[in-house]
Amino acid sequence: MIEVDGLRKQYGDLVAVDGVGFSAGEGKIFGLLGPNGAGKSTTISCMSGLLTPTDGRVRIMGHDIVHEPRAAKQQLGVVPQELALYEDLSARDNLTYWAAAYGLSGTGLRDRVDSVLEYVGLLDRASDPPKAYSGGMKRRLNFACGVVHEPKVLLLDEPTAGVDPQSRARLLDLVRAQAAKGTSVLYTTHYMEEAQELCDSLAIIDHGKLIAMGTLAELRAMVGERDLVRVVGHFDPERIRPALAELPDSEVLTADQDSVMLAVKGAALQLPAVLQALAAAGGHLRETTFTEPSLETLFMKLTGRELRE
Amino acid sequence: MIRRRQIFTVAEFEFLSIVRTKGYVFSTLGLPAMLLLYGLFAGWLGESLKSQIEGGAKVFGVVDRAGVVDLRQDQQGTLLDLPAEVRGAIESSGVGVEAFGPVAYFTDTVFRGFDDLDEAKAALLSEEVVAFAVVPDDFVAAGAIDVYSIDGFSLPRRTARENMAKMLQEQFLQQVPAEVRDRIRDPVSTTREWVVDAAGVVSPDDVAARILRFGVPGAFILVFLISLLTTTGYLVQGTATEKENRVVEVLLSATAPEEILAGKLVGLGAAGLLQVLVWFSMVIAAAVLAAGVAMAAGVALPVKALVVGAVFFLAAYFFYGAIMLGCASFGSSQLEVQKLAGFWTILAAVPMMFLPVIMNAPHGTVARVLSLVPFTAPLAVLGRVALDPEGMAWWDLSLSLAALTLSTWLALRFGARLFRIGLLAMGSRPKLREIWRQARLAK
Repeated sequence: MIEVDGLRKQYGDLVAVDGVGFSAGEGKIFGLLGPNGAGKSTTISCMSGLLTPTDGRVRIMGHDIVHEPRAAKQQLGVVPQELALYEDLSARDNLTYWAAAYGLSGTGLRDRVDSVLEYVGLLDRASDPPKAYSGGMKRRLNFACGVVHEPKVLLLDEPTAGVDPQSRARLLDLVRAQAAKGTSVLYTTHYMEEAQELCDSLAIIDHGKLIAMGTLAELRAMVGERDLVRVVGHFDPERIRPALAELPDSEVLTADQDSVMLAVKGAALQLPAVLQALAAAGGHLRETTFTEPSLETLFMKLTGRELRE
Repeated sequence: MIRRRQIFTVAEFEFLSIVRTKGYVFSTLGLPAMLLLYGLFAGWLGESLKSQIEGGAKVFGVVDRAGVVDLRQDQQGTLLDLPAEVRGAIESSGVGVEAFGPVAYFTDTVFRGFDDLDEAKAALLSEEVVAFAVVPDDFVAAGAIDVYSIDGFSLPRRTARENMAKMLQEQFLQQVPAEVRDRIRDPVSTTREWVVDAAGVVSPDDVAARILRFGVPGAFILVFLISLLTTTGYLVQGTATEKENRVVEVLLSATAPEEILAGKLVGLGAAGLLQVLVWFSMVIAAAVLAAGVAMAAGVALPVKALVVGAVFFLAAYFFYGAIMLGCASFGSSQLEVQKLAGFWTILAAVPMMFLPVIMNAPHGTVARVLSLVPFTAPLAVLGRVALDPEGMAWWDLSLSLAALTLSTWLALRFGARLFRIGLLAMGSRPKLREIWRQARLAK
């Protein structure tokens, strides 16, 4: 069980995390979605005890991470964004060290290390050092280090960053399997597809604040059954806003001289009317795209920016 | 509360990680082997140069305008002091003439006379001679000669010039009484030195013994310093790597900073001690091999220094290790960490500057003061004990150890706080005032 309440982390005048609060129950995957620099890693650092929150509270299986760090950390597994591996040691030695650091010993430790190596599909390469691994294999070993002690809570900070699609799919399977065992998972990412595919509930974070939170269905409902239409060209924002406002079931998300973004219900049918309105308002059109409702649409609706910006 | 089990886990990991590295194995076993190889090479080089100098007689031309040498025939060696029949008898017996005292005898140069400069020059160009000298008319008054040779460095040519001087010297020595010649050749042939101790007892002072008495402690101090710097270097390097690859962030989710610090100090300290033991074992083995020389020189193994050295090494290691780790934890890259720890490395080596003072007066004021300052105490005390094992009183030794132990305890406490702040300070490095504030507040 993860409980985060009013979490705030401030460095001088810079507020990195501002009043973040959420929870994730047993066996649930909670996604924290946001662009780079939004505050995801700082949130995870506060939750793992690496950073002391300026304000707010984090409880891991009921234990406060600041006041009961040892009890909380005992239940916690962390898979950081960067690969935290000893490149010259074998995969088995890496796992053995982490298992011992988390308190495992003797036969139990050896059995558990073998079991995790098999679980992540690296048993046949257990004697090789990570420096001889591919990027995807390193990511799987990194994941294995975080779960070798069978934590009740798992914090995953963009664990698929920079891996190929096949390895990503395999890692996501591992995360699902971990949740199926009853582990509460916090998963941060800026890949929307991952969040949609994996998480039971999620929150969108930007500039340190949660701007939306709920299940995938709830978040989609916030967007409505509307497609995202993006038109590139040359426009006069002052003229096109009132022109587009007259269209039914549509909302201008952003409008500047080079592009216009709208949320439109049934865009395929409404597209001619949209283009006509833009042309009538003096716009010169070069390119048009539209996508189905997604978290990206929601993020754009809420922030006016694309998630990967 | 610090968990011993966590410390042991980190210590075991650090120890095994470092002793398995090629760098450690090389520095532990390879360094002494390399020094041995260096010694052998230097010896071989010396012999090689010697053989180049002595390898066969070189012909040296002489144009004698002053008429001071008789070179109507080639002349090799000088046996001027021995009667012809004696000289003949010695040569026919096969015994070296050198065995019979300070006779200027040399066989590595043949002197060949030439009538004029052109003739000598032709001989030089045809490589008949390695060089030639012109002894001018005013040589006796001026003492100057002119030497001609092909451009370039040549040891045989230099030796020939020196032998030319010896030959001329022998020519002139024939003009003084025989009993004075030896004193002119070698005015002080033997120096017998004596040492008078505080009780007025006179005993022979052996140069070899003196060299060993100062050399062994000097080597001992040097090995101690190298060991200290190497071991603390492992500490700093390990921390730098873990901070750089972010392993420490995960480690901190399982282990407290103080446990990591203690584990690193113990594990890498053990690796350092193992290295020191190997090095000292090799030094002792070498000393045992050279026991004949050592015994003759009246030098005993510095047992007291070894015991004191082990104790002070541990204290110094924990003292410097804690401070260096504390500072190094603020670096975010290898380079930055090396810079932060570098100051302490220099400070640890400062006592080497005072080594001549300590050697001159092991129990003087400077040596005593240095023994009480924690940064200089380990080397100063070790130097004093190694130089004069019985001269340093137990109270003196205890006082130094107490001061160093207290400082080490404080360094461990403060170092652990710095280490905690440093490891947790991800991103921008905190300002000094903030570090000081947090170090005071940290529990």
